[in-house]
Order: sequence, then structure tokens, then C-alpha cells
Amino acid sequence: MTHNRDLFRAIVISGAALVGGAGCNDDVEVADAGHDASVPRDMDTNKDLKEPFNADAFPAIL
Amino acid sequence: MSAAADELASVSPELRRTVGLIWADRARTELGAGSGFAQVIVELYAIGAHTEVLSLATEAAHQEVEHAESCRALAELYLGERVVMPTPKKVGVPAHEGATDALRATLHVIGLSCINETLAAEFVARCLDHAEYSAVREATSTHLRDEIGHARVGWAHLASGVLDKADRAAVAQWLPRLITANGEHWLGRVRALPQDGVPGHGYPPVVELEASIRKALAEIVLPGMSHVGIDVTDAARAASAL
Repeated sequence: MTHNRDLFRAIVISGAALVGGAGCNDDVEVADAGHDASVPRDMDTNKDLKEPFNADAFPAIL
Repeated sequence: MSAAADELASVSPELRRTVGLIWADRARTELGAGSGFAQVIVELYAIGAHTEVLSLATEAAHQEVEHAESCRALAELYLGERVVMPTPKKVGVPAHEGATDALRATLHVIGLSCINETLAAEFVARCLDHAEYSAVREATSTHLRDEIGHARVGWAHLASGVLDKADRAAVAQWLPRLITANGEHWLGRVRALPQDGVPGHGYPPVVELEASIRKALAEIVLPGMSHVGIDVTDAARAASAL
């Protein structure tokens, strides 16, 4: 399982380091409780929400 | 029959169709991401972005097309029928009216890469947790590796020295809007997936994905902005409201 602290380091810290990372704040604390797989599974969901046009967002794209 | 198809032979036709259609849609959205990066690359050149950022972004645009093809191939595997690649399109990008051209370019990078691709990496990481079939694991592992690189584009850009103090203050003002828009959009996307997920085939339950999106905003995106010197006081409120 990939934890968010790992992703933070792989994405943010490593990304910034690629250009030297000058001026970055290395004291940022990352509170990572890990991924909680015990979330309830009986909650309602809105299946009508497909792709609402939102001018402020890029399409939710991968 | 290929080994991958053989592995799916005992899966019900209904489940295969459900998963196949999801992968077909993923092919479309991956191609859309490539279109988004193509447009952002032009803007990055226009503002004289760091060469490392240009290189990463160009690589991302290329990989998104590869992802679209791998998703199409998975759709074909699950559906057991020919699936054609979606028609490439120029996706819309936010107008961000009132922003200068340079700020708009940076806001586009933040929206597409820092937020969207970071959430994509989180989403794919959670999907990998639920992937057991070899073809899905192979594609999803590749996607996770690449999405991390796509997210680095934005963080590298923000850390590259292109923003002065005034620029960072301007970004902080726009950030809540970007967090809200992208966060809502991602939550909408995951809510369109099967509510109970598709165990073994790479899709966690919707509530698990919703929680992971919120956690990624709180634990990766917001600390990331702090790391590159952007004030997140208002953005944190926007993230909490999702």
C-alpha cells in the first residue's frame, strides 16, 4: 500500500528538487494517518453525477 | 486465448462488461489529459518555464496517449470485442478571467498537474491496492509511476523560481477556487463508479475513494503548496468544505 507521506515525497519533494527547490520550506509537516480501509460501505452515492461542466476545472482526467 | 484472457475466463459476463466500460471511459479521459498537457506545454513555453519542467510536461503528454492505449486494450480484454480509440479532442481549459496571461498559465499548471495529477496518483494508488488480475496490476502500476511524474510537472514549476512574492500571493487567492473545482470534479468522477467497487479488478468502493481524494488534498496538495511558499489558509477551508 502506498501511503500519502510516500506520495508527498515522491511527488512534491522530488518534483521541487528537480529544479533545485530553492526557497522551498523543508519544515512542512505531513500528517499521514495512512489509508483507512475501514470506511463504511453502505453510504449513498450520486450516480447521476457524470461530467458536469465546470469552467473552473480541467476535466477530471488521469 | 491469451494468458490474460484465460485469467478472466471465470469472471461473469456482467462484471466483465461493467469493468470493460470503465476502462473504455478511462481511455477517453487519459486522452483528454494528453490534450490538457499539450495546451499547458504551449503556455509553459510562452512564460519561459524551466527546461526541466518543459521536459517533464512533454513526457507527460506522450505518456497520456500511451495510457489511453493501455486502457483501450484493457477494455477490449474485458469486453471480449474490438474497442476503438476515442476520438482525440481539444479539452476545455479554465478561462480564469481577470488573471494575467502569465498567472493564467501557472494556474493551469496548478489545476492540471499539482491538483488533478496528484489526485490521479492517489486514485491510481488506491486502485492498485484492489487490483489482483495481472493485466490490471501491470497497467495500473505503470500508470501510478507515470502519474507521479505528471504531478511533478506542477510542483517543479512552482519551485523553479518563476514566481515572485506577488505571484505567490495571487496564486493563494485563486487556490481555494481551484481546490473546490477540481475536488468536486474528482468526487463526481469516483461517485460514477460502482458503489461497492469491483474487488480484484482495480476499483475500491466509492466511499473509500471519496475519503482518499479528501485525504490527498489535505495530506499532499495543501502541504505541497506550503512547501513551495503558497499560503493555504483559505485553500484549507475550501478543502475542508468538500
